[in-house]
Amino acid sequence: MSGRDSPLPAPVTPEMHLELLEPRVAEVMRLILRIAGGDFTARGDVSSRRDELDAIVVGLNMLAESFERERLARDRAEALLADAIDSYENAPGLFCSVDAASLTVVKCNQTLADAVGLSKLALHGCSILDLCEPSSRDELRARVARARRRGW
Amino acid sequence: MLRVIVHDGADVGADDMRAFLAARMQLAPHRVAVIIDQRNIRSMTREAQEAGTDGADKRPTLAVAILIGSPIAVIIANFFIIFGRPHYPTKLFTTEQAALSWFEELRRAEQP
Repeated sequence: MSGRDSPLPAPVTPEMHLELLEPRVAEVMRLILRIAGGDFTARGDVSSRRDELDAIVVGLNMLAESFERERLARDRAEALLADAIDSYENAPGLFCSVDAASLTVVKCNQTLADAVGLSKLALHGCSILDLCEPSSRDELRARVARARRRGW
Repeated sequence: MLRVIVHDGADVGADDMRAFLAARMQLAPHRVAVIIDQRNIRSMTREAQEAGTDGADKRPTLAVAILIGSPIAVIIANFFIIFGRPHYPTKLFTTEQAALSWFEELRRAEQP
């Protein structure tokens, strides 16, 4: 770029732009801005004209409602997942998932980790045969073999 | 055939839709073609549309023809088809005559 840069024009805010528009178009633009900004509770008013602009408002209202319902559903799902994880981690029982072929721990709950005095990370990869009473090992092997044959 | 006429200027919510579906099952519990005249509708919520497709398998429906006229009716009908994904044939028409012809085609196609 050569020569002197021309001075930048004063910044124009969205509101200033909207003031230049026909009032109904400006209303639609404000609705779009609110929805685009994440305000999915925003709704526009449908006029008695029921023309193309009103159709856009109806469509935007339905889109915003869909986004809001999806957001609420996601929040509920996340809360349920957190409850399920909490129920697993802090259950009174000792829970672990085991690789059926190697009989090693793949995942365990905090209750089990606390019971054996190791971290969950340290337990990962340990043989469950080392975690149970020596007298129960044969029975455990037999049960796992039976489960593998049945598929569960 | 069941003919449904949405009132002029109606704002259809979920409760309206549930009331309509209950009435529909009383009037036509068997498999039926439905023509919905929503040419003069003013608005409809997504919750109402979802209520309209919930449990649709329990309401035997041959097909649904939606009569459209205003831009609003077109938007609402397209939302219903795209997001509601009805499990029965659904088409938009601007005249009742065209909708009835389509029903007739479907009826003929079903005959062995």
